[in-house]
Amino acid sequence: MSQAILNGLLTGGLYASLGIGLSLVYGVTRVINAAHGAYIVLGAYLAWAAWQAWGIDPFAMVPVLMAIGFVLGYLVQRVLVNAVVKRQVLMTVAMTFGIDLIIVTAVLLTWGADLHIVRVPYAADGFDLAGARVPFVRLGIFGLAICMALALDAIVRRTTIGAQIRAVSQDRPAAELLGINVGHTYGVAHGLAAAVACAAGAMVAMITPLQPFLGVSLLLVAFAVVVLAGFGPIAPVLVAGVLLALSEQLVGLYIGTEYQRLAIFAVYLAVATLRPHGLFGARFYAH
Amino acid sequence: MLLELRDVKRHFGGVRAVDGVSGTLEKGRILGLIGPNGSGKTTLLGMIGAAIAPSGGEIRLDGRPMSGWSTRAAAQAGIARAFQVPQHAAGLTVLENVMLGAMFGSRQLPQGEAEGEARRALDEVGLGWLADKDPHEASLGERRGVELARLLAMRPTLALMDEVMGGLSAKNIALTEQIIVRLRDEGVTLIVVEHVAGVIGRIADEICVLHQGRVLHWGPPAEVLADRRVVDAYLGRGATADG
Amino acid sequence: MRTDLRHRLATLARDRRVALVIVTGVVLVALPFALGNFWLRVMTTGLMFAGLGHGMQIMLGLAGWPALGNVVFFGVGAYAAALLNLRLGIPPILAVPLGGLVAAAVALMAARAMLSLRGSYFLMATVALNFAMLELVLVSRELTNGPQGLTLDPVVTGSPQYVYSVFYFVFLAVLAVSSAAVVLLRRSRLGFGLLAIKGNEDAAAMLGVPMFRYRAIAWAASAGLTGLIGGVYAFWIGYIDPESVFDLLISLAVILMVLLGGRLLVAGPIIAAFAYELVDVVAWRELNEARLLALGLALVVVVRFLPGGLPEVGDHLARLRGSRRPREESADAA
Repeated sequence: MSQAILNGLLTGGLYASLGIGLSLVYGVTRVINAAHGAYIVLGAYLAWAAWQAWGIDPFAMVPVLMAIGFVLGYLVQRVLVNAVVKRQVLMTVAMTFGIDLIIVTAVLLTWGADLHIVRVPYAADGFDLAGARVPFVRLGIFGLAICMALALDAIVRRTTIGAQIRAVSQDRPAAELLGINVGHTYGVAHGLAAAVACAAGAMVAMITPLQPFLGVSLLLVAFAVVVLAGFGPIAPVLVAGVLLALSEQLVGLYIGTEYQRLAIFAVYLAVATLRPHGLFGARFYAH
Repeated sequence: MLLELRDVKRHFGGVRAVDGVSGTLEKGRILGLIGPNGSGKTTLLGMIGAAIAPSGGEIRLDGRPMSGWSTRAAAQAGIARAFQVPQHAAGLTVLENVMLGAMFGSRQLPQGEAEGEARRALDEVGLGWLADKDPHEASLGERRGVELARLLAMRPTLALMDEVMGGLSAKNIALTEQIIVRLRDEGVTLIVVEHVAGVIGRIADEICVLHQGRVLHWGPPAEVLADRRVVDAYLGRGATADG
Repeated sequence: MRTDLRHRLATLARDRRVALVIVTGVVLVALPFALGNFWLRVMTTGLMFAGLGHGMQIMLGLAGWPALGNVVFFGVGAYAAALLNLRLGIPPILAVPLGGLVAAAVALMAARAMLSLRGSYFLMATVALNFAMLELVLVSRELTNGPQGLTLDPVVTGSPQYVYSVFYFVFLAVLAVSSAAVVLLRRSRLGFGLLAIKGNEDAAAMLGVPMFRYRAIAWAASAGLTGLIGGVYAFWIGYIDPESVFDLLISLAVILMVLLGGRLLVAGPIIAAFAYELVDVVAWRELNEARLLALGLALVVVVRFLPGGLPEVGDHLARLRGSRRPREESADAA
């Protein structure tokens, strides 16, 4: 039981980091980026490839992945998405799914469909806490997730670009009047989100067998986190991630592991339909 | 008595947009709703149109409380609204937009009849030639005219007009005034919010002045316009409203 | 009265569109007798996608409501029809329409909860619904046989040519139904209201359009049609498994077809479906990755550069041709 709780806590950090980027992009551009899952997958495979070829620890790859992710996300937003933000929701999301497919097939063609996983030398090491095992890897992931969340929060709250992001997400026309380059701001938001996603991918690579189509289910987890938390402040996202992971663990423990995914979707549907603005009611603005 | 407002309030967080408005409006009257910016006119109109729910107090239409009404319920009860920024459905022609008023409001006409009604309404506002065009290609004055036509097609009992004359030519202002007065003569009740000078003075049967969410004066035009507090409120000398 | 009817029929006959429909109908009916098995299958798949396209068109083109997870009804219809047949012995001819009804019922139940959600939230909710159904089917092993799927007894026996032809005509009949449904919906009061909602939701609500009722009916119609096709699919292939019938890629491909179809509500998805299927078969026969890549690229290209779909391409071409003869044109116009 305590193991389940601990797993829930640690995995919750990972889920939260999956959701943070998505929350940021949606909160600012009002477009759901279906390619978010693909960024995670890309980051995961790049981390695995680096480990495979040069023995680089995925944690060490994180800064590189974040840079790659940022550039990719920024370009995708400015070149492709910016032109279609004003269209029908289904069209823009369908396009981002298209981007997702392109990235995923690129991964598929480069690395094949076989399962891969990163097994770092210290994968089995850890320490015991309150009758449960705390693997170093998971602890590291949790720590990294918290760091990224805090960093992103700091960026949004304390930098100029962060202020621009907040302005655009609250009142786009007003921001434009103030002279803020909305297209650039969208790009930065998307870039930051992709950066976090790629880094999250490195973490995923260490605990889940990788296959190229992992993206969509990760996207759904990310969205579930975002829906639970509501769009806006970062703190609820962390809590939501932990809550989701905990429910998953508890369901697995008491009902059966095959019901875990169903439980996630059930929780998601329940919250999405009953409280679309999240358990905490936080929103970037009233939609 | 068509409309009754009982201590109607609306708060947005700490802001008291409407802070206890009471009064009655008889059928077949034109009420001019005026007041400085931010006095709560649009919010009050929104509540009467059931687009916003009051935070306190009650609004009664024909004796029936409007609590919990959707905008659709309001439409079916014969309430129509026209806005400063015309609200049209993209993808439908001007004629089809006007038909919506006749088809889905309190009249619920079938498509064939609705088309006839829509054409008549468009002719009345002088825009019959615009029927098959895309509303978004029309000028602002034309789009306002289409809104008005749609309102006419609805044959409302209560019409709420929120600053529909701003930016119109003198000719169109006169035309709109004519239509409002004609509606009143046919028994429609209208609440008109307008900043364009002179309009309210010309057409209103009674005037309600709002200031900081409260009624400063509600009565016949001559009285209201002579009230020094009203003048002060508009000139910003900080008059307080005692209701 | 009679002359009025005759007059109307005469105008109808002269209408180019009607002629086109009749010609297309005749061609489609005659095809099975001319094609071999392989191409017969290809055309049948095209017919199936065309019908699915109409189902999505009701949501996308009429209601303007982003039901990305609509494939869930394909799966529900397929499984409902299959289970009714296997577990309750109901003959396919009844099981399939019942499967469609089950799908419509699911939509109505979900409507209560989901239709009040705004755009993007509704979209993700439908995706979640799809995956939730997938998981539900997977865990209900005793009933659905879980990941192994269900195998159905052959409905028609005979030569492969004969069997393929039968299903060709079944899908053709379904396409006729879906086409009629879209046309009727568009012209009806319901269609009017849906377009108003799609065009300006707040205005529609203010004017008294019954928002929830109309959207729910549209969704149920879309779901029922999609479910019906799912049921036919189940008996056509003879085998269904959860991952195939609840596949989000099906929804994405169908959306691509509807987008390609542009402003042509009925003909658009039909043309696009056949175009898609032909390209799919000719170009990527063995390469699954290439097919996915092509779908992704197509989605990006169409949304970003060709939002009006093939009709927009047609417009561009017409304008190009028109600009090559400026003098003649202006003389006529004057």
